[in-house]
Amino acid sequence: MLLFVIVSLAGSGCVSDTNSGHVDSESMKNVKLQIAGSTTVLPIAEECARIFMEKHPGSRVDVAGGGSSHGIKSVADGTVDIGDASRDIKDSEREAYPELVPHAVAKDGVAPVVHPSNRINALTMEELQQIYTGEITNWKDLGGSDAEIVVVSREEGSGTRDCFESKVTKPIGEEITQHAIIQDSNGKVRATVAGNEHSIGFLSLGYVNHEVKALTLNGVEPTVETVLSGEYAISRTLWMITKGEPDHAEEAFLDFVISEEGQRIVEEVHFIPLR
Amino acid sequence: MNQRTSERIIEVSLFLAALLAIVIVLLILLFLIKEGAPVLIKFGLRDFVLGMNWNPIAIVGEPSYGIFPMVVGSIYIAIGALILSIPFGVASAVFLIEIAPGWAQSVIRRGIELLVGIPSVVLGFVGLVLLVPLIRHTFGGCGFSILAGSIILAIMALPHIITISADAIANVPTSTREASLALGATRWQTIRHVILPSARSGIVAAVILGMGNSIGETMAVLMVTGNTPILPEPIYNVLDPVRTMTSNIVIEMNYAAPGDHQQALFATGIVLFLMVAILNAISHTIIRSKRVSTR
Repeated sequence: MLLFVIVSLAGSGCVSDTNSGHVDSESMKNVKLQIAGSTTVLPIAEECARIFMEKHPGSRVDVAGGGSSHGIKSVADGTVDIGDASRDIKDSEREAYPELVPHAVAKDGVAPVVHPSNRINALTMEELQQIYTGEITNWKDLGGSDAEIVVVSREEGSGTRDCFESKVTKPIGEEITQHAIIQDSNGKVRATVAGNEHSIGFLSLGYVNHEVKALTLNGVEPTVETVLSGEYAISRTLWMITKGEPDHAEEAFLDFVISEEGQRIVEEVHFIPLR
Repeated sequence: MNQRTSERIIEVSLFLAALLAIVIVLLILLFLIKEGAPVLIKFGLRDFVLGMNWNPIAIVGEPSYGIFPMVVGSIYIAIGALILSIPFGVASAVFLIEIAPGWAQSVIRRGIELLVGIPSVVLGFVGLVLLVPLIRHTFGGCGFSILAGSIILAIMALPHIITISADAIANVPTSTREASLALGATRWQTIRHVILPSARSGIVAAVILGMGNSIGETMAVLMVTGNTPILPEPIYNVLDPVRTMTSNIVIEMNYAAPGDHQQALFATGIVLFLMVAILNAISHTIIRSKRVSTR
């Protein structure tokens, strides 16, 4: 059902017929691309597919979700042309499918955020781990006011949660505390943290604004620059993966995603462009 | 003969139309079972419904699928909503039918209709921005709570409880009313000892329908209850956050990978479906009970 909606959404781009006069527009006719995978990459893939189809009338790019693992598996066994992943290809996957070629399409950083009135401005990774595993439960243990910490997290399966978990709680082999308040979008996490002076949450960098205060982690401020330089710890690269070197159609689409226009879409959907 | 045939055709098509509703329900149920049953068989219905731990994407150890805290959360919030909405609802219904002058009746009825028209997302957002901070500042805790969910649901259940109770009260025969007054009972005594008992079955049905609706409601609730998949501590603490079954499905369905996780969400739907079906069955039995048929 969801897949059907996505496909029909992506397909709706076919209707508008704005031939931009691209050189390779003619050769893109009857091109059919299937894309599936990470829901984090989904908005980028959907929007790029829509614009791509407008630019190349007659082409058709179908985009579906399913998760990173699904994307990697699908591209490896040939069910789709491009697999989306919001994490690096695991060693086990590299072994099983050595022919996969990842292409970076965007970066993402996840920043811990608190209420602007919170005295705390910086945390170490260890402190962040202790907060999110439920070991530290009061701000006074971190030099703040004597108040219980309200931990806000995202739902199981969320890409933002996955990024946060894999960089914060996974290295010490623990789960995020069950006591965390769960909100199901970046927007709601932000509203929750903005509305509670004792809360802490995490946001994809594109959603951080004046309503909340992003904390520096191990002395590194989460910004576009520190994510791109790799200095900031909680970050990841979003990938589009092909089986072997991309063929003509795949290359055209990937080129579009990393083109200036494609990267503008990346920024619009709150991720960090590659440059 | 010709007329007979056409009548027959109309009868059959009406029957098919009626059948459609049942077929749709059955198809939905079949689909739910088809999608959710594998995980129920794999982990066992008992462990699924009574399991305490919900951790579908495990970092440490195996994933676990236990929805007991959510079953409790759904029931808590629905009961809380009823406790808040029944007194107001029944009182409004009594006022509406027995006391209010004609112009007040129409104003109140309009108001109730407006209340039904507020989208649940809007109520949820109001709850998130106003109610949650209010509860935090007044009672403590983090604000996201059973109480917040119950208040929002009470507001949503109120119009249904008022209209169904009002109908039940209006259905009490005028002769009964007049007999009571003729015996020298005051207006209040009539309401308290004659009208409310006569309308009891209708009011109970209103309450149970309200409960069914409350358990099934999602959008507004998930914005204000905090959605933690654990039991409140202590168990009676209405200021603790909880997750309801409906919230569990909505929150995680977007990203759930096909397989156990997704199936577990469908299985949550099966449990919810059964609970609401049982409540509906109870309310229908009450509506059909003798008290109603004799009035």
